[in-house]
Amino acid sequence: MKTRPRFRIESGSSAWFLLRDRAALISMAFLIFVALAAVFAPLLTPYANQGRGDPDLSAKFRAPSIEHPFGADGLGRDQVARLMFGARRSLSMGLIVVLAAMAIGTPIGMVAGYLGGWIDEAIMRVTDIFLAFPPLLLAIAIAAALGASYINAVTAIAATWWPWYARLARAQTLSVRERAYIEAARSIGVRDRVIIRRHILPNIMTPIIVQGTLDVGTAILVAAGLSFIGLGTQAPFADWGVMISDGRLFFLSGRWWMSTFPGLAIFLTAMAFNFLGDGVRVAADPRLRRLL
Amino acid sequence: MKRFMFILLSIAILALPLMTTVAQDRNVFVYGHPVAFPNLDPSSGNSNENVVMGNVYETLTFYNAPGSAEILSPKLAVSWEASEDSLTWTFNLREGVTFHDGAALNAEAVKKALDRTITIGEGSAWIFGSIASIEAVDELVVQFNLSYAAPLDLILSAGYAAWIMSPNAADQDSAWFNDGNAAGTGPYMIASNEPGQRMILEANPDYWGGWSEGQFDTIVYEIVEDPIVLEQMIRSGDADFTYSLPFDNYGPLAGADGVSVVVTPSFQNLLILLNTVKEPTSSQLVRQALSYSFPYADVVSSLYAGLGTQARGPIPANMWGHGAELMQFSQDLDKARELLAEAGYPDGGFDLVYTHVAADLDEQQVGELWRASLAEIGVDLEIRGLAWQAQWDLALNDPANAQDAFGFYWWPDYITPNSWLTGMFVSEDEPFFNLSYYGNPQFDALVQAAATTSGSDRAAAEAMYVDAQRLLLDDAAAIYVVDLPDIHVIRDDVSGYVNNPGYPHVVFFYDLSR
Repeated sequence: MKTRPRFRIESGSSAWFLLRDRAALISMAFLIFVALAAVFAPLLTPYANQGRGDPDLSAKFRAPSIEHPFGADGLGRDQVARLMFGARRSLSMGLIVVLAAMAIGTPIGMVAGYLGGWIDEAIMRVTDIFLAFPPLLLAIAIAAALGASYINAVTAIAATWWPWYARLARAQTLSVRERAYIEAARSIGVRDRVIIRRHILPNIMTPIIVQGTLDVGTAILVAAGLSFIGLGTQAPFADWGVMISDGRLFFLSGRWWMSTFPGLAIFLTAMAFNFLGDGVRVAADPRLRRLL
Repeated sequence: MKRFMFILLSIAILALPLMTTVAQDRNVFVYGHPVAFPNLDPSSGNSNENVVMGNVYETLTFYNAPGSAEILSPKLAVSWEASEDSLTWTFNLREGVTFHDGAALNAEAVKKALDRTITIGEGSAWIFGSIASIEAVDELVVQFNLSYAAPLDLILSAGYAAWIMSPNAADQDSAWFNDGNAAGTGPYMIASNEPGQRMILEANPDYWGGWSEGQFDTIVYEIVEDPIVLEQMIRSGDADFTYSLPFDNYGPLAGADGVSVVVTPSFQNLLILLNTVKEPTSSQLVRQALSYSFPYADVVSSLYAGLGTQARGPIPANMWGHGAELMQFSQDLDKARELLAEAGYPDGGFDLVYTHVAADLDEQQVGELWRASLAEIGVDLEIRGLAWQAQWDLALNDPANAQDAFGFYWWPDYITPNSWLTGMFVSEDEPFFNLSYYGNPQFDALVQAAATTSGSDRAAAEAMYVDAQRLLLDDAAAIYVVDLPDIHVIRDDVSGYVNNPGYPHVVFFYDLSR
């Protein structure tokens, strides 16, 4: 007797809609590919040490070839290895920033929306202050004050990012808190903290996750921007922003490969996160599904 | 109304080429300069504004480019002589020279200008340490009385602090100069200054040297910090001159149309100052081990594209006082391991922090190459790119918590070996540029003795400088990386350019024509 597969995607479910979105699907495949290349970089390249920063001057500025498909940089390091190791930092910067911003912003927004009153007012004015600055400028200021490093860059960007999630979470909470099931929970004496965690959080997560998916690409771009101006990852380690920054100096003198490939990597990854985010948004919203 | 606007726009568009032609009628030279001019006060300015000073102000004597028949030539002074003991110097001034503000150059003006610099006592004013008093003996005769023998003719040719400003300007404070005011005797006058952006000089019609056809009327310094933009400007002809491009780009650039790359020896070198007061680099053995760990050959041949030479001690090879017979470190990792073991670090096992100017890719890559070598002897190097001021502050605040290794360029205030040794290694109560925090009384005494002897007996002074460097090398207070060349890029249609390393990156526009 044949057994039914244990895992099946129900027709009409969110996942089913997501998998029907070709752009989102290709994007997801691309992102998985990049993530695997980053995670398994030491096993995938013969130049793992160069990916970590060791020079090989014999290959200085080697143009793309079979040995070095994306060429080599000014210290002779294989650009494929640098890109793979750089992906670890670039991707993780994007993900950590968004997760941290979510982790900080969502609870704050929920508390503001649920409790209302002066607490809401105070929290929202604080977010206003943060949102009044152009995000990249504020991140640059914070990163410059903290000192240039990978961790400080992540901290700086996350510090400018959480208010968006606080606003989103607050708006969602405002609409959810009037629902009957919340009323019911409150009437049987469930404590506020439990209501927020058990009943509100699960019901506002969808738009937050959609926003998060859309934001990862932007966060990677901002992180690359900080690295580009020297406030992110420090030598000899690489991320894509650093690679573009180092490589662009040699663009006019004919070593086009140094910044082109990391530039493409950022471009494609940011775009993939956007397509994926769009796909998740459509799949999660019954009103938009008709567009598929 | 619409038609009126259209006609107006058409006229404007048609007039554009005309306007450019008018601009081209004036002979304009554009210097794409990589850094701003921090202090335009001729007394205390001690940095990159020297490229302006050299055209707006003049010195009594002029240091000639290497290869000239004489070391010095007359400038504001036409002749000079020293007493036998070199303690009294008399300078005869050029007749008929006026400052930009109309004041006449005379002995009183020279005395007032130099007294101002000595009184302010900032920047490179230390080079006048030997001067006890200045006297205006006659309208055009000025006499210097020294407290110890010193080569004053050479000192007065310095590219810092030795500029003569008008008596009216000498009454002003630094803020006045930094507002873009100036009054020197030079061939050019400051016409406008937008700090950090652009400075424009116009020819001084009353210049004592006179003017001839083809010389430049207007000089524009475009401050552009991004080397890639500078390279674009020089390639396209938007700039006539620039420097400070990545070393690896000069090769391809030399083949570009309309551009020449001029490589000449300079007096600049790159060192890595080692922290002599903080563990583990406080140990002489550790510092020696670090000196043996450095990949000199790779850095010189690859990073500097073979254009520099490995340094041998702090004083570069083209400067008197350089010790060609001194020992020179080369990379020897076994020796480095032995020394580390002797110092109590048999497998390395410590971390070091190397700081460099964040925008300086050369210094960064020096760190990256060194880091790979250090890893082989069990030492981990953290490379930290900082703004220059932040890097310097870190070194000044508390030596015990400062960086272990400091990427550091040096070039002399006036052309003397003393500049390197006094500036970087003579003991300082409060650190300023002695950022190894090196303190060795025997070394201090030798350098002091050499400085006071150099005016009367150069050979004896030279021997003392070499002995002093021997102490430094033994103490391994720094890693002597590379003696750098001057590399300048200039458009081919400009003629008359000769690099003078005595005045780093100064283009003497008066000598040029198109």
